Amino acid sequence: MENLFGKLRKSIFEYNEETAKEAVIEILNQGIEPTKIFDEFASIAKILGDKFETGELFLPELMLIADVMKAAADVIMSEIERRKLMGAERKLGKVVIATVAGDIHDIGKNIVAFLLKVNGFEVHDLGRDVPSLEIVKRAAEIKADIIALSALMTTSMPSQREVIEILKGTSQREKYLVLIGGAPVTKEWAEEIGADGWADSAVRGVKIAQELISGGG
Amino acid sequence: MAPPWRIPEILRRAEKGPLCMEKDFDTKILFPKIRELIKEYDIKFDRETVVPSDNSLADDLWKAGLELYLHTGTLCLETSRRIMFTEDEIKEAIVSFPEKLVVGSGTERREVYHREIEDRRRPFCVFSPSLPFSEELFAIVEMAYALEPLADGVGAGVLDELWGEKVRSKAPTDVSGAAAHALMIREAVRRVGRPNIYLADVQTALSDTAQISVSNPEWGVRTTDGRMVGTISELKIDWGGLNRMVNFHNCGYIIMALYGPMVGGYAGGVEGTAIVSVASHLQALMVNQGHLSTFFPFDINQLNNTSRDLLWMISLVYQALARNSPFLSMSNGIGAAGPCTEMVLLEAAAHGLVSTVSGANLWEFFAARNKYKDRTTPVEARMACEVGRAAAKEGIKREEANELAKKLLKEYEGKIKNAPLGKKFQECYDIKRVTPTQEYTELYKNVKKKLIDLGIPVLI
Repeated sequence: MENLFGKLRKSIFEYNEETAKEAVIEILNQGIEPTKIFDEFASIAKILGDKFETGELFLPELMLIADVMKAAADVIMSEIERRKLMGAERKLGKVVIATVAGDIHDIGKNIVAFLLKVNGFEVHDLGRDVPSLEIVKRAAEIKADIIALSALMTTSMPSQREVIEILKGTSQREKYLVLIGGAPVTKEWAEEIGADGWADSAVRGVKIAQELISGGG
Repeated sequence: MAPPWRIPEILRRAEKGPLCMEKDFDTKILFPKIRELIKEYDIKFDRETVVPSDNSLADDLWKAGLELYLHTGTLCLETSRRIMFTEDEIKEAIVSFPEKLVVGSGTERREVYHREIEDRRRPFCVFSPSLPFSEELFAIVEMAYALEPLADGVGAGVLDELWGEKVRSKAPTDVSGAAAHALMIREAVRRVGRPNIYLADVQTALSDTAQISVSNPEWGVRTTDGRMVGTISELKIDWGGLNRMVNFHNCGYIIMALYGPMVGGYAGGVEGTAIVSVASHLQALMVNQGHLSTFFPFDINQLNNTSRDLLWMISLVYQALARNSPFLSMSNGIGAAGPCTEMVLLEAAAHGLVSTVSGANLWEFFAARNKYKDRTTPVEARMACEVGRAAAKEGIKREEANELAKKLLKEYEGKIKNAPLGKKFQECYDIKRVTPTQEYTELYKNVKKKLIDLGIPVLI
């Protein structure tokens, strides 16, 4: 069994989607519970976060690894559906993430999106320079748990506040946890605009999201 | 004389170049090629060498950067098209590049020239806060920067609020904020007796609409001032950038290409980011069509560029540019510590020293990771410029600069992760007199004594 998990891990770190999917199917064929594979994913996600923070792993690698893990996770979910496996539900939070209106910088947002993905969140990345109403609309469409808003310019930070004000104005504020970040964004700004969480790094952002979704934020 | 270099070609290629989705550009075109080039040219960071003295390494970095840019081109985000060039086209733009540029006017007229490695001529120094300030402080901060005698040009803060409301990108307040910015900085520099000094940009305006709205020499930006066209990391541009480029050239402005690669981002570590930095200077010439460029790489986690590996990268990139191009590029420092701390002055000294000896002009200095409102002052820029100019005047060689930089790093590199935040501008300055406080003045003097003890050159 160690070998199969080793194969899965190796495939992920070598960005090999096909062998990763094979490894997942082989593990499931051995009668191993899908939750064990998700535990392995969580362990890999922790390694990815650590390696990113220490400069051993970079954004393009993270993007490629996230794609492989997403493909492997999709196989697990379809196998769960097909085999009607019990006890395999994952507590997935749904996240709508965007760089807010007026801002075209998206590297920080992309890093958070990929780290959220590899940590098991269902991530809907709306891209950069996204109008506030569009963010709120998409959050409602997919029934998001978290709205994550990135801003790299002080002049785009007001758009973070605008999203929260639209939520309040349309009586939807309680439906979502709002997480904000970006280089100029501070804890004081998060408090001023009434965000639920703020993070000064991508890894910390994922931890805050996990805490918020488990009710501990 | 370029720039501009064949603007219609750029616009045509932005519409008709090879189609490429952004994710494919990042992961399939850019990153694998960078990895290949790092191996092919054996570009490797050595912790013992902050300022390399190996000319062949600098030349290899240039070749790798050129090869990368010929491979990738620039991705236009709206059209998902790659703006590609041949080597001959790049050579044509390079040989057409001016040997020097004149900025400012009257008594504030300054020549900006291409500096060589270990060049004894003084670097052109722009002093710039580039951080958000309130409407009340904005003009005072600008006066404080223009009052610095070593400043050849000044940037400005970002006007955070106007009429009690936040200035917001792409909103009407962006246009109003841009006009207020242009008027306020002109008045500020006039009040301190430098009405014709080179004003580097209208940093408040992010959108092309707001930028273009102040293209009016009568009351807005003069043609002897600077305008910025930013690159989107890595090797990308949007229509907003191209709109600006076209308008600024049509109006006869001096264009500065703005470029801040993140170490740990799409290009990987310092080696890959060094390669993409050279490629981005080529984009600055070919797509942004800049006369000047300002280069502010930073660590994706720590947000500064005064660490050992970043200083190595800055040094190597400037050496590659100095030996192989005619570019007029300014090295932009970002410290981890905040104002009124010993650490930030040591960081500024290291950045000014390493950049100048390696062939850069200077754009100084962002404190407190360029992150916190009000937390930067002209004093940090003064230190970087003073050490940079002294290093040029004394003819410091790369080997010596390497040893000096290591001495400086020993003083602060262990503190980068938990660097002190320092004080706000209004706590470091008497804002009525527009002078640094006694505390900061004394600290500056004491740090200079320390620098002299370490063997670091100072100007005064």
